Amino acid sequence: MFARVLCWLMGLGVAAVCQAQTPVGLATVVEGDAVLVRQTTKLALKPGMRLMSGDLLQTGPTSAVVRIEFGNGAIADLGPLTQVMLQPRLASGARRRQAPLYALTGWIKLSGSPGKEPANEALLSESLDLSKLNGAAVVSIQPKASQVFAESGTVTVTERRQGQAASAVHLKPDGWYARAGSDKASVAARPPGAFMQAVPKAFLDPIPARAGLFQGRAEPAAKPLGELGYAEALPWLGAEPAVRSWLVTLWKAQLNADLRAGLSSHVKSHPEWDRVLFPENYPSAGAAPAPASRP
Amino acid sequence: MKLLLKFNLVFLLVFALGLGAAGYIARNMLQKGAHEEVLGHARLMMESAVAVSGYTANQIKPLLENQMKYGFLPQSVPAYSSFEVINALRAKHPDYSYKPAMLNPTNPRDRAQDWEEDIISQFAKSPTLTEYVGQRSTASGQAMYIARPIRLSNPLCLQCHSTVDAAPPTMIEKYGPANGFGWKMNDTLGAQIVSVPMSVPLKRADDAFGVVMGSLAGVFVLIGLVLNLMLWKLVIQPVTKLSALADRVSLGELDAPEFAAGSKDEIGVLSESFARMRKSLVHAMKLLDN
Repeated sequence: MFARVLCWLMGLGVAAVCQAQTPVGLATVVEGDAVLVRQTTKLALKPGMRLMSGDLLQTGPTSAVVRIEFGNGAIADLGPLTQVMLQPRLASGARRRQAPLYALTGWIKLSGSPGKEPANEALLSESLDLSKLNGAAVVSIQPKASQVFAESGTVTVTERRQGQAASAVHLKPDGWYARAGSDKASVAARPPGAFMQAVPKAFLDPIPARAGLFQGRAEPAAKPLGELGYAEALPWLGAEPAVRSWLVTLWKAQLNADLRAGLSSHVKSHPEWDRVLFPENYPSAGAAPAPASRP
Repeated sequence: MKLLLKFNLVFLLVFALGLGAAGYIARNMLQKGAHEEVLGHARLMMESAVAVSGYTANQIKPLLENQMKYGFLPQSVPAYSSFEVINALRAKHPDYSYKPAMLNPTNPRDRAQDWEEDIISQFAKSPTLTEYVGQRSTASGQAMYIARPIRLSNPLCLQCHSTVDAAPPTMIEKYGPANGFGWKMNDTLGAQIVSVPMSVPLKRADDAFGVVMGSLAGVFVLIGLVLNLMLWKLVIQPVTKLSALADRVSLGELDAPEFAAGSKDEIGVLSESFARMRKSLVHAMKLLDN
């Protein structure tokens, strides 16, 4: 009972903290189970919830679609088994990589802002970045393969290899980009049937923008689902170095016991956390070192 | 020849003539009516197909446009949807068959056969011709059909049927690039044809004819029986009794009982006249005796 009350209070606390921030997106459709991780607190995602920079979203296997609508009119639909981060601040050498969304894994359908110039960056991921989206694109980011389908309009796909931007491909309407692991990417005028069959059914029909329905309405109360455990956070803790560094900044003030214990016992896999977990080893204060290796 | 026999002979003659004439007229009318009814159903079916085609082209196809980028959906094709809807209707009207016969169809299922090509060419030759009704011999007997031209009037159709390049790639994947292209506005592309076996209207007419003639014959027989009964009871029986009484009186049996007619009709008047005549006869006989 005490744990539940504590959890609820923490959820309220997180919500209160985030009220001070500017929302970067709005959850307008939640069909199926979806979890919002704010700081290190898990919340049940509901339509109408404002999403902040650094929020993590995770859809379950039975989730049909979760829609995020951004302030500039751009839309991201998430399919089942998808994990994304809202507006991360990722350092990439001297410059920052910025986009409304970072995809760790899963299916994402991105629709550009109608009647506006295509955004420079639409989506970031470890294997590719999407930019100059002028229409709609369906992206599949899986551990062993990444695919992009320019459903309508055009989009630029920038390959990323070992954390660095490599070649860029400009996909025409109906064009398909695929890359398996570290193989060379392939581009085709049309996607193969297997890809078409795998696309989540909810992506096939265009759903009109719904952000207007939530204007002037109070945000639904966030229902806390507990604290993010180490095992649950592991996919993100094992992401590319830029993401892991950003997570240190994001989570270091809210580390819960399970996360701290897990990180402490596996600190060799998460060297970026060493300074946070064991400050006594670092007499002079400074920024956390970027992770050099993956767990 | 007895009165009843004469009456019945005349009645039967009139009955036979009347039934024959009524049967001839009724048969013609019923066959024409059944024919029109079947044609009316066929027209309704065809108009349903046209309505479904228009609805599909104007309302369903735009909704499926995004899905068509992933896979071709024949449900977006007007001819397909109308064919499916009419096929569903055929579950209750199995005698009717419908086909959107096309000269250059995308779906090979819709390709016109020889006799259908002839109809289409007639429509192509006569742009003002909007309907054609005919009959043809089939393996299962004579069949009637009603045909209406399919002319390209909706520019939306050209999205899929103008050129291979303009067509949705998913459609090419499904049906290939060989058929269903090169259509032009106002071209006669094919014909909607609804066929019905002739046996259908004929059977309907025969069924109705049987009912009409049976009813007519039944009414005639009933009338005949009633007329016979009335003739017997009101005319023949009293006249026979009066005749027997007259015979007895004429043979000198002057004390024979009076004839009680019990009615004021012609038979009653006749019996009163007979009674008066009998009284006069009795009186005359008494005078002779004195």
